[in-house]
Order: sequence, then structure tokens, then C-alpha cells
Amino acid sequence: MLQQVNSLLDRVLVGVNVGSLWFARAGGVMILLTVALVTVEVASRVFLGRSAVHATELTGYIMAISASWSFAYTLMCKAHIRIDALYLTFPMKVRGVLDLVALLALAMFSILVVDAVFSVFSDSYSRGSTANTPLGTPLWIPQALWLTGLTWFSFAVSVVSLRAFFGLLSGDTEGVQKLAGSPTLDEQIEEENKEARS
Amino acid sequence: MIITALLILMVLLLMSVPVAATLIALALLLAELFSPFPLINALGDVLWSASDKYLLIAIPLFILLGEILVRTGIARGTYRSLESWMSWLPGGLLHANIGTATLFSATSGSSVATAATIGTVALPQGKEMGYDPKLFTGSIAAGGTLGIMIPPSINLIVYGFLTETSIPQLFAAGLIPGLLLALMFIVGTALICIWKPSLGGPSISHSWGERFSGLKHLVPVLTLFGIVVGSIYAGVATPTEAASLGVLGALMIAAFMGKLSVSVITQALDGTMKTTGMIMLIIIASYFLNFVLASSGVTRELSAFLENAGLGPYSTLMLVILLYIVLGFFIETLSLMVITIPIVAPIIIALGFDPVWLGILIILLIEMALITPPVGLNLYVVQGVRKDGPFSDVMKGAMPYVGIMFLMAIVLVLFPQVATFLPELLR
Repeated sequence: MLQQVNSLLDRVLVGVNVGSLWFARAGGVMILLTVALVTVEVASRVFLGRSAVHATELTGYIMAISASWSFAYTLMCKAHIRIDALYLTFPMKVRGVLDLVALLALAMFSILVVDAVFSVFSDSYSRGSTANTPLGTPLWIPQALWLTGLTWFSFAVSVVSLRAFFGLLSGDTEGVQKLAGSPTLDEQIEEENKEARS
Repeated sequence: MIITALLILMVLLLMSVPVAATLIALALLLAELFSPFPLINALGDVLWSASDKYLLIAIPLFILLGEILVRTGIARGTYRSLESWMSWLPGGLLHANIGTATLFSATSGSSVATAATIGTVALPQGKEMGYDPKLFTGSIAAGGTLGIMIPPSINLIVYGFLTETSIPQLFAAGLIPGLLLALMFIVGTALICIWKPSLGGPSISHSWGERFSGLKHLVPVLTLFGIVVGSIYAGVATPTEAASLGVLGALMIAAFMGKLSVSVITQALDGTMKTTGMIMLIIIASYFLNFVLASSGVTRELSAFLENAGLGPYSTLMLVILLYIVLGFFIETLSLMVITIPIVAPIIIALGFDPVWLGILIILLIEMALITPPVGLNLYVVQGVRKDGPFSDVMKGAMPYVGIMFLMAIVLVLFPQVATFLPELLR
């Protein structure tokens, strides 16, 4: 029974991994787009003396959206910051329980945030709020994209939490560690070095 | 009550609950205890105004700039060139370590990336030439911390965002203390090596021809620094625009060096997004905590409490410095910033200290935290690149530099002009 649940969740996790990576990459492309937008804006201001693309407003939205699209990827990389000074001194079993607590805290956090953000979005939509700027962007558009990222994040956290919970139930501490454990220093260093050397 | 809240904060953090979740939990608890209004209703709006920020996009842009630089191998050339100019000093290569760190930090904005990059280039050479491993590794770890003081600095942007301080002012303020600290590192290293030559290694001298022909390797780094910092102070660009131009410049340099490919860009973007997610989640959480602290009046109560305790401005400041040093032993640096700044900065600023100056002081203390064990990220990074030898080598080697930083902190408190002189010139 547990075995079946776990293997089902594992299949879902594969999808979550892929989805999170592509959300993050789309966010990354938006960051590159920012470079283009802002460069055009600066050039236009210096050479033509006027603003060309309203980069200030657009990049603000891009910031909100691309950040929210990166949260799930950061989660799958186990890179959301936890203070592990004490954690690393505990035996595996205790660590597994702490990992689950950490995930549940993050799940609660993300669901609370999605709930709050949804009402911001629905208010903007029903009132037809527009930004107080030359572009007058209807705010619900960037807010919907922002909400999408946060919703995906809370979905990803929930799936990982479930998998960690059932993993602990079936006594698979190593699997939980791999999925959700705070990365040990060795892993982090390995990661940094890989980046520095490549 | 406040004490209870702080205790809960510490317990949650030590249980390794993610910092972002801890900050929101603390914010909600404080709102419940101290505010007559249900501040939780503002959560969505506060988060949106924290996220939809033109200023903040400078953070992923500077991360991307660093990612591209790291992948182009610019560090190697920079190191060789500086080595030919600086290694005649007592301490030889140690000065090249610090010099490269100074130049690199001026473009990448990240301490860890700086330490990792320089470690990869310098360590094999130091080992080959028989340098004492302690001071050699220590100088790399310490040099790497300059990354968050010399502009552009992601940590200064975070401070500016949380305290609503002007980023160009902060960047201007970081320049002189950053360079002064680098100079103090160099003088300190030379003095140590004169006193005990065995701690360093052979000094090497190069011909002038070698030195001048090596200068071309400094061109990429100096160009990027010029683009980023120059465009801000020429009044052409905001920090965000300067960061964009910097990324464009880095892409062009990478293309010119034949290092630009789809896979390099993809890797750089993946790395950027991972770090962005990590930083942004705790920043927006911290922004909400900031909001709750300000609207519920907790900050005012804390200030009043300190005042009634009979602590003058300077004793309070000393207390804060002590707090950072102690917490810096245990808490990772970005978390340390976002947890403490919403509480500490308003109190210290209310006592009459300059917010720009305070930013530089806090950054200096954060730099110290990067190289104090047991949780000193740069120490581990250098040890990780090094692979062999005891970790205690790096720890011991970094100690003199911790001392120099402490000296610098005293200088900053006694002569605030070191930090405030340039920004006032620009004001």
C-alpha cells in the first residue's frame, strides 16, 4: 500500500521537477528580456531624450513574475535557506522529522500566501484596477501570472511534503534526505565548485 | 512578550524551519499580540508591493552578471596580471589573492562566487610554490568577502530595499571602506610576512615588460566595473539599468572570448533563477515582517525600552555590533541580514545615526560573519576547492583578517566620514 502511494507520488514528482525547471527558465528568459528592454530604454533616453518602452513599469512586473516562477525550482534544488547549525548534528531519523516539519511550514506559508494573493488578484480583476502610470496596465494581468507562479510553488511544496511524509512512514530515511534534507556542506561546496570550474 | 516572540523565532530557526516561513510566522504572531488591526489582511497587498519592484530586478541581473563572468575564465587572466604587479611584496602571492578578490568583487557582487573563483585559480599555484596553507587559504576566504562591500553589491541592495535607503548613495559609501579594507588586508599581510616569513612564501619579481603586457587581462573586469559603476555616477543610469548594461557587457565579452553558447547561457540562467528564488522568498517575507513591526509599534516600544534602560546611542551601537558578531557565528549571512535589519536599523537610525553609514557598518559585520567559524560560508568554499588538508588551516588563516575587520569597524565608528564622505559629495 505505502509502496504504491510512494511510487505514484514519485511519478508526480518527476512532472513537478520538469515543470519547475521550465517555469524557472521562462523566468530567466524574462530576465534576459529585461536586459534588452532596459538597454533600449537607456539608449533612447540618452540619444533621443525620451522614454521608449516604459521599462520601469514593465520590469517591475517581470520582477514579481520571474521571482514567483523561480520559487518551485529553488525548492527542488533544496536551496531555500534553512539554518542548519543544529540540524547537522542530529542523527538521520531526527533530521527526517525536521525536514518534514520544514516542508509543512513552507506548505502552510505558501498556501497562506496564495490565498492572500488570490484576493488581491480577484479584487484587481473585479474592480478593473489599472496601474497609475502612462501605460495604465490592467493590474490583474501581471498579478495573474504572479499568482500562477505562487500556486505552482504551493503545489510543488505540497507534493514534496506528501512524499516526505509517506517516505518517513515507510522508513525510507535516506530517500527523504535526498528529496528534502538540508543540503550538507559537502553538497553545497560541490555545487559551487562545479559552477566555478565550468 | 517581545522576549517570548524572540524565543519562538530562535527555536523555529534552530529547528531548521525555512527562514522565509519563520519570518512570516513571527510577523503574524507579533501582529496578533501587538496590533489592534488584523494586519494579516494586508498580506497580499504588501507582498505585491514588495514583489513588483523595479529596483529589485537589479538582484537577478547582478547574479546573472556574476554567473556569466564565472563561466568565461576571466578570473585566471586577472590573477596572473595582478600577480605580476603585486607579488614582489613580502607575502608574494597572498597579495594577488587579495587584489584579484578586490577587482572581482567590484563586478560580481557575490562573496561566495568570488572566493570559489579565486580559490580555483590560486590554490594550485600556491601549493606548487610551497606557500604555507594557513594564511594562503585565509587570504582567499577573507578577500572574497570584499565582494559585498565594493559596489555593485547585492547585500547593499537588500539593505537599501529594507530600510528605504538610496542605492546609489549606499554604493558610493561602500567604495572607500571597501578599498581601505583591501589596503589594510595587504598591509596587514605584508607585516605578518615580515614578522614571520615562514607564514608566507617566496616573493617573486617580474620584468616591467611582463607586467605591462599582462595589463590587457584587466581590461574585461575594469570595463565592466566602469560600465556598472560609471553609468550610475555619470547620472545616465539607475542601479537596475547599470546592472542591465553590465549583463550586456558581460555577454559581449564572453562572445568576444568565444565562450558564449546556448549551454553556457542556459546554465547561467538556471543558476541565476535558483539564487533568485532563494533570495526573493526571504526578502518578501522580511518585507512583511518590516511592515508589521512598523505598523504595530513594536519598533517604537523597543527603542523606548532601550532608552529607558539608560543606554546611550553609542552603548546601544556597541550592543548591536556585539549582537552581529555573536549571531554571525551561527547564522548564515543573508538570513542574518533580513532577520535583524527590520528590527535593528529603525532603532539605530532613530538614535541619530546615518542610515547610509549604518548600512556600511552592517555590511562590514556581515563580512566578518562570512569568515568566522563554525558557520562561515567562505571558509567552507575555500576548503571545498582545496579538497585536502585540515579545515582548521583555513580557520586559523582567516583569523588575522577577522582582526583587521574588527579594526575597520572601530575606524568606521570613530570616523564615520570614511563612509559618508563620497555620498555627501554626490548628494
